[in-house]
Amino acid sequence: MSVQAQPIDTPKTTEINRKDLIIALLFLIAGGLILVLGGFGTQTGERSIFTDNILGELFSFASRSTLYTAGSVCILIAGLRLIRALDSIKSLLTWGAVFLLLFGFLVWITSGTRLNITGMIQSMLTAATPLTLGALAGILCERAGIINIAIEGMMLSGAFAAVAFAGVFDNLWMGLLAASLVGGAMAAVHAVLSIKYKVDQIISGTVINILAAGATRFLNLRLLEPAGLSSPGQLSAIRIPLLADIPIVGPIFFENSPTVFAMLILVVIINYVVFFTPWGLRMRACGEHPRAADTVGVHVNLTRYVSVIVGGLIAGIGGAYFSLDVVGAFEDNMTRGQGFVALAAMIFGNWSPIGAFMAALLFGFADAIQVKMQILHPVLPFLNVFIPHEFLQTAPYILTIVVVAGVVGRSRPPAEEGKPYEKQ
Amino acid sequence: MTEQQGLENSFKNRIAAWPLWARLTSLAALVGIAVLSSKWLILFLLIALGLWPIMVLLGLGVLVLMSKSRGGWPWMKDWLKARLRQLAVPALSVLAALVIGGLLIMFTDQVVYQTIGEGQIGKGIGMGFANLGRAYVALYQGALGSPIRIVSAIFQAIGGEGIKPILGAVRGPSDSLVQSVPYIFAGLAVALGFRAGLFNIGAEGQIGVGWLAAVIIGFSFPGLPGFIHLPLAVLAGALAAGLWGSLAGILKAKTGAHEVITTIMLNYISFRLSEWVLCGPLEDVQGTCRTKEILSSAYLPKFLEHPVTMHWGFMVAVAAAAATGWLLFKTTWGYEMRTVGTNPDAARYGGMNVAKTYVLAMLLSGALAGLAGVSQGLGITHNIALGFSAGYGFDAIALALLGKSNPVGVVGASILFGALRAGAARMQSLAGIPTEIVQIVQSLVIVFIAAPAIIRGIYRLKDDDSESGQTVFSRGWGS
Amino acid sequence: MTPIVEARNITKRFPGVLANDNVSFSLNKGEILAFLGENGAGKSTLMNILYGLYSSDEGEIEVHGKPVDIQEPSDAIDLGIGMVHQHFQLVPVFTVAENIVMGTEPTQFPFSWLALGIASGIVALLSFIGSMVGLGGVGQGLLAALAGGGIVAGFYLLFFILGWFSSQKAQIYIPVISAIGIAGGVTLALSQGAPGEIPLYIFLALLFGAVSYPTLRVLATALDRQAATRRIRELSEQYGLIVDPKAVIEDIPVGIQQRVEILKTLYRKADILILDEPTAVLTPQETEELFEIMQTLVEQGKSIFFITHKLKEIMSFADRVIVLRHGKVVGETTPATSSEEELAEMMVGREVSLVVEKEPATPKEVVLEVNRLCAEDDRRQAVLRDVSLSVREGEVLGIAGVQGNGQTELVEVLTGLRAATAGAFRILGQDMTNATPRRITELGVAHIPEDRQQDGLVLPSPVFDNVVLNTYYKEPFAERAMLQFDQIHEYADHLVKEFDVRPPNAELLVEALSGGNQQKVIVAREFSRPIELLIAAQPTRGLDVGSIEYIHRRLIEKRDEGCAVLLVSVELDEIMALSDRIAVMYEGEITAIVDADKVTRRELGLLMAGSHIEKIHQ
Repeated sequence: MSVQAQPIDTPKTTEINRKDLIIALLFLIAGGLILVLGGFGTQTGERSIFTDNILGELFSFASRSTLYTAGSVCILIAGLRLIRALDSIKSLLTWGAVFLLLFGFLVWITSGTRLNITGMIQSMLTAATPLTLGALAGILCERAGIINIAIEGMMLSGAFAAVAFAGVFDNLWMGLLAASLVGGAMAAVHAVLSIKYKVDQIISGTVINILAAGATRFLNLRLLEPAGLSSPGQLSAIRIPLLADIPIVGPIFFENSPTVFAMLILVVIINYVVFFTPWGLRMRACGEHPRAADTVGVHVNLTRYVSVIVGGLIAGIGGAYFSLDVVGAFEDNMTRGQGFVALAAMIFGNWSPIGAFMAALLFGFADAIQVKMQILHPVLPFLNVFIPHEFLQTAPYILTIVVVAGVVGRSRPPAEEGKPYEKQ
Repeated sequence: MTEQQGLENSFKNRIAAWPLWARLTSLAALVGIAVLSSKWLILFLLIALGLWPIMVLLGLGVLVLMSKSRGGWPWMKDWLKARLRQLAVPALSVLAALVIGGLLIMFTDQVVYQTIGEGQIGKGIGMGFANLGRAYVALYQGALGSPIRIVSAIFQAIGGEGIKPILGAVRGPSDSLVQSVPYIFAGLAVALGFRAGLFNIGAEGQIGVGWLAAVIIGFSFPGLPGFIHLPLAVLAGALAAGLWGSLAGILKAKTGAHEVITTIMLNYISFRLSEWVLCGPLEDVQGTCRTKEILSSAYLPKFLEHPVTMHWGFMVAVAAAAATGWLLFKTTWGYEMRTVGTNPDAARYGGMNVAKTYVLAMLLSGALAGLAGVSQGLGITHNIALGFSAGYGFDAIALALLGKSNPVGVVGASILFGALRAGAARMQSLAGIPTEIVQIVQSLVIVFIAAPAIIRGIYRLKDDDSESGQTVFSRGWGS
Repeated sequence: MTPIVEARNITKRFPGVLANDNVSFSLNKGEILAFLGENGAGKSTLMNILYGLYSSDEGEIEVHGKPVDIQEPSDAIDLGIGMVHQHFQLVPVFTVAENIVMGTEPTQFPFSWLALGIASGIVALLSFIGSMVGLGGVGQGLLAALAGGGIVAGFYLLFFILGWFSSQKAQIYIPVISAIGIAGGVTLALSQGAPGEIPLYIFLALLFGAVSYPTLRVLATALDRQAATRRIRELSEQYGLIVDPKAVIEDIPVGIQQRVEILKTLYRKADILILDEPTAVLTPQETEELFEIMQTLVEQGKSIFFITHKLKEIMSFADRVIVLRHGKVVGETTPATSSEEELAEMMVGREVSLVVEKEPATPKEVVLEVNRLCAEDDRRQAVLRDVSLSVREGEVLGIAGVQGNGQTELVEVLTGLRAATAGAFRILGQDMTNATPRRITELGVAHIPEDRQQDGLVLPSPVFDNVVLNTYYKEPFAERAMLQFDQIHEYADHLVKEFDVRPPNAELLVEALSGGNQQKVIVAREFSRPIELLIAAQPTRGLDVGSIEYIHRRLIEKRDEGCAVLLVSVELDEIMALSDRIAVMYEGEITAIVDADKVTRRELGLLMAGSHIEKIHQ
């Protein structure tokens, strides 16, 4: 057949599919809410002022009219979706609407006050750091075909090792290195269990999580605290000369703690490795169709081992962020479920490093705005209550469920994930 | 196997011959007797647990008697062999985990390090062993009490001093059983999920939801009599957790979203929301992040006086295990769940409603997990506070594995884990070993159970085909 | 002329099976050698051994006259052997080009800015060293170790850029460079560190030295997609295999996917090709095209192993044929000196009579009536288009067609397992369109599913559980939702006896039974309840001859009892032997419905290939 055999074509329907309808409705509702916030949640003449530490006032929006505009544009986009207009730039419009919604929300909570936008972005980036590092670990693991719900455990043990070894060697950098190595070691356990012993990968991941939680606390109480080693201090920020002096961009990108730099560099490197190198191609093949990879001479299990362990090395650095970056000491269970948010970021980012970074930034935004809300306490119109900040904290989890359920857009995991590979 | 069935059948036939009213009445009579004599039953159970070696010997004696009529020693040998083969991997896994835990206890001690560092290696290792001995003796006593004390207490009681000394002596077994209650419920929840092909990693969140719901009902209706208030609170907890769990089932049935991801996410949603509820609307005293105490009419009654804390939760848990077993293996619903769990395509082919089964299984699994929270809330804490999450939901995965997703096995594994937990508390107070050693031991147990090849390697056991393929529950995110 | 491949006395045992027993063969240059045999005769095993997917227990292989030891597919690839597997080994989400080049990708030095990046990295390293000076102790050691790793990395990079890392030379260079680098690191460590910390520095130096090569190797090679595309276009033109290198595999038809598989071997410079059942999924036209491609390949000097169980292909195509039965070579011949019948006898081991003894049908009332039925596949492409047919009491309607022309989906729709998007069907006069499987089953419809292990059985469950898979909820197997195990066991024991399931033990797990006995469990379950309509999809696929005859006999018995039978099979012989009327499906449509005794094999073949009946009769 073939050159002439055309693929069976789908019947073109004019009716809009369910997914589009849901998206449109969501935008419609959200846009409406923004309008309501603008109309009743702000006072006439209030302005939302975005500032920068050095430059002072950057933008000043008239709150109410900005919200009206943002809300109307959202509704317009929803309408376009409903009548299937501008279908070709559908995704662009979708992202535009999402941005407008977030922006509208930000304008509303800032209404009548000032917001340090540089600081805000900085804290977004900081909050996104462990999430991105964890997600990178997950991506390496899962793209190669091994499910990784042990990010939390790898990060926690990394956090512990960072403190322990920083104390023992009296050097924070050694702590960072040790965090990475111990994260890698936990990953190696996961790899051996799931590749060599073919243990169900979710069980193996759960083991790592339980083991990490128990062992870090046990060792902390038994060894670190008696020896007075549990608070070695914080890593200091690295300032790249000249570049850090660029206004706005400088403080955000060029004056950061080492883990943030590591995260930024690793996102670029891992994205390059996964999608642009032969090794990445083979690794993805191991997750999608290991037998195909095997028949062209790729060593499936070796590739999986390497991926999982390198992932663990990265997760370990993510763990060091908690202990060496944030507090400068080890506390029990200090990752507090961020490993699972990292998992969420990985899924939300559709198993791609850049995507996961974007997702982590979005989650970081929720985090940063939640901190802001605790200070500003914006009052919801009509209901006259504050929005509990915990509600925003659930955003990453809800968004992830929405994505895996495929209600709006669907993330697609590697096809052969979770199955041990056996040569015949 | 076949003989057991034969026995079962003859027994069943005899009962089946009775009319329904007779069956119901006799069941009610049995329950009544159990309730009325519950205090003594429980006391006997606790003593038996404390004096388990005697019980094992008694059991062997019964076996010898039984073997008389069935072919003597060869029959008995086969029977014992079959049991040992079944128990070998789980028992050896626990043993290996305890040994590794012991090594950790020995070699994570400042003084031991210092001594070894000073060159006195022998002395250091000796001290390590001494530590270990102290720790594991405390662990044993915390878990099962001191047999000597129990025996002497029995003599004291016979001598006319009442049951007070016995109560003190059986505190260990009682604590173990109390600790095992949430384990049984949570373990059953995960096991039921496994049977239906669902990996419920969200038991932890479901526990919280059930706990919260039961406590809310528990403090809400002053004046209700206990026989209404208590069941109401229990049902509310089970129902709330069941509905919370069924969200994951609905998502899987409707959209194919993998339950591992959704239950993990639901866990954290429930944690965040409970943070808000407990430190916000339901907070009793500003700054405590804790609810009011429940009313005494909603307490799960205790069997005996202080210091024995055994409450009705244990009985409910055992009943729940029996009910779960009956549901899974004797009813058409259970048949559907097991079929969907092993081959959803064949289930569809056989006319089963796979989506409905997923939802139902998650509902029941969630409800069982919720009961774990209910038993804690109504039986022990009588309120719910921030940080209620004690990891039962994750340990439950170990229990389901250890018990091979079989209700009887889950109960056994739960009592073991409960004993470890109870013993660990005592070990911490007496020997200064952090209770987290139990978590380490538990995670090692899961490893060894899930990868029997390791245990077989260590103990040079022969391979057993019955183990193969028992640990594949998840089929990737996509399915 | 020495043969290009020569294998002697290959023996391969699997647990319980002797897959290949002392098999010898040879292949000459430019030859098409066919392996003929039934399913399970050991053809694929033999070829998998040649390709390094299995290792043989005994025997030796020579390629180009040299003895070789093929452990891995990569060894086979190095020897110029390429294999097109029966199940395509293509990653569905990758592009054609990615699939073809995977494993031996063309690479380029990534980006010029990576070089810049590394240069600036070195500057950063220097400044890092600068910032660390004065820390003393571990800090000094750390930077010493980093410097050690850095030296190694620098050398590697230099050598890589100079192109000295071709696979052979690297064997010598890598250890030498590593040694230099590690020695440098250790020297630095020794000169800087306090005595007690020196082991740590040495460890770190070793660590950095060890990881620097693989890391750089991965980072410094980027996929060269343009080069890949270029090379694939060249190969396409050379061999007449037209593909779009940028298309994604899951979007292209099976025939094109097969070309991609062939290109994969050619890209690896294979001159010995193994084609494992290449025509199983193709239409006759696609098969013709494949044969043309093979002709081109042979003309350009390639040699081909060709596995099949279809006699006609061998007769029209192979230069030489080796017949395998039960793992043994039973004969070697050429099509010119042999006949189809002779080959068939060799393959099966006795005279084959695919003629099933049966009386002429006596059709009565219409049981199944399908009216303009449409459906979509899992990827939401239309697979059934306006299918109309009817099956009557006491007749067998066979549906012929090449695999993948909508038969699977038709059966799924009729049994309630797939939604119909348009049209309707009635069973016994009742509209059953989009009814649940249970309603359809309860109406008296039996279904022998195409994939018995996936759909028809719960493999890890005992036989007695499986025989009540669709009646478990009804009396006498259940009373008020309580399973009645006594009845179930009794029933299962009875069926096992009646249908001769071996071993005769209903307690056994189904997965422990052979394929034929598994199918008997399904047949027992489906035939032992009152049924009006039997839908049998590929009822004998993969079964031994004995089981096939047994199942055929049972099918005809059912027909004679007055049951309506809808038979779907890709085996034309089976269709012709059993059916009273034959419907042909092509691309989701019924292209013809003919009486079985008024049509020839050739006509059916043409219909299956999409011709129309008028054309054939012209």
